[in-house]
Amino acid sequence: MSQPAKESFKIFIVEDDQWYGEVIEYHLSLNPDLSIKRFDNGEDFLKALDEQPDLVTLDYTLPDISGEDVLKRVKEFDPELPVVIISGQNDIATAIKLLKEGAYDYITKDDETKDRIWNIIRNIREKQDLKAEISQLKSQIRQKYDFTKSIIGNSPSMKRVFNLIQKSLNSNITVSITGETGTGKEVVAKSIHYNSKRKNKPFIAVNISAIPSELIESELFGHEKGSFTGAHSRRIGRFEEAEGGTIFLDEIGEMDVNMQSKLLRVLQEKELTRVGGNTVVKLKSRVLVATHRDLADEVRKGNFREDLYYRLLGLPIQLPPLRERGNDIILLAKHFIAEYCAENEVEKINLSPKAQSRLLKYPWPGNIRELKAVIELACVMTDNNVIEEDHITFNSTGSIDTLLQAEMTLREYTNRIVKFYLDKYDNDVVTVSQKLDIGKSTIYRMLQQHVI
Amino acid sequence: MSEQALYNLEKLYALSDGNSEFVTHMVNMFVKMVPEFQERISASYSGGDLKDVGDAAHKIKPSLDMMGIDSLYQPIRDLEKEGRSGEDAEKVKEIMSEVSSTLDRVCEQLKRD
Repeated sequence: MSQPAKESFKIFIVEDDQWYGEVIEYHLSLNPDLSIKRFDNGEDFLKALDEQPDLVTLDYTLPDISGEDVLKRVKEFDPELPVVIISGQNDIATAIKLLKEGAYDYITKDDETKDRIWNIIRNIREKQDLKAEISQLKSQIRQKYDFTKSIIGNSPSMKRVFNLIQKSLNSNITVSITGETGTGKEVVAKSIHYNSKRKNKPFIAVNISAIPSELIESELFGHEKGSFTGAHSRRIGRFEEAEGGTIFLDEIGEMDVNMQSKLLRVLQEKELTRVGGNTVVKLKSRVLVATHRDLADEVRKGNFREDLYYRLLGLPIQLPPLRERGNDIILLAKHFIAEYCAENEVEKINLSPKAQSRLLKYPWPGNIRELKAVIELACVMTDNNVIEEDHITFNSTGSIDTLLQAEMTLREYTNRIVKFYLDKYDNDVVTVSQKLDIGKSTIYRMLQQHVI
Repeated sequence: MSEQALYNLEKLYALSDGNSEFVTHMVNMFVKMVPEFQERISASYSGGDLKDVGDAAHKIKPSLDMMGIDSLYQPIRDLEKEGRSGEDAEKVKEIMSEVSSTLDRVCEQLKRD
């Protein structure tokens, strides 16, 4: 997305040598996008700072104030305003000192001055455009995850969820989100991050079940070059990537016991070391976890460490299954219809009362994710902008014949089936391998080869 | 032209995208600026302020470079250095007169051309 360019880029030239200043001013004015103002003393320039220039070129020796003092006062006024020092001579000690004090660059008056100024202008403009774009994207994300809009529901159980999310925002407490597959655990995690004080820092989501257990430690904590076969270079782990932001560990219940104890130690010590390394890295990110399992039950069965369970429990948020949310089903269905219409630029589609009652009767094993798929299909099937009862097909039954009509190869069918199950179970490779009675490595291989 | 030109306006033409009107304007300004410079250094020298001679040389140096006055490239730098160090008044005087007389000739040429 391109950012509308600012009307003109404002440069202030502070130069007491009239002759030299005029040459530079004229030269820069050859570019019509630039608006240029010249000052022959420091005081006049400082008084004009309110006009908010985009770049200042400052002659180091001025008659009234030293270049160093001018720089200091500019930085007090606006630490972000780039000031390029232009000096009659190449004095490295002064240059280093001024750069440390916040000068953007230090250049000397010679044949290359003009080229260097052009380069600086280009760099600053690029940076300004990027900054504007980033802040625009950030505000888009914030809007997207304004949870009062992104999470939909009026049922009492959802009101409890909203209340808990609100409470989690002003604290750094670990939040454990539980709920069946497709109930929106990641949406809740993102909402917490993008509404908390950490919203301008990274949000890093890791699906534990999608990573082979032998790789998970280096994925989370990083590794040093050569720490194991295949570790060709140093890698920063996901915890470090989330620096100061939020790390979301999805399907935490799938973590193997050995890794659980390593994670526990990191969370307790609040520091980590990369695999094969010695450097201790402080942990500053907030931890959110989610699972579709009943972790307390996993603890009783001996699959999940009790101490880690209590460490992660923090503020528990239990997301209700869709079938228990009553009329929320209709609210969500209407929301997905509106989303479909907006994305596909079609007229408003309505939902007939009979179709509504069909949606309300269905048990929704795939929860909101399944509802979204059903609604999108229904929107495609409708022909008079009203979704009728028979436009609604539930994918979990009855569609196998349609699939067989597709006349794919057996390998393609296999890929389709594995992909369907991975989607259904949040990419939980362990569960899918059990359901389909195939090896985990088969699934990893398919993932690696990108056939699914 | 009887004597070799002591200046070269190529850089000014390049900087102004070949605008001769602008170059003429800058040349006129330069011709006005030179006597001011000469007066400043001679007054400072007489007043014993060698540092100001050096500072004045420092200020005018980029303009001389841009006017393509190559014969003054080193002398103006020496004047800046010697003036600011203030150790050798004789040497300063010597360079000053060299710089000043060359500038007189440059201005004559510029006015003539």
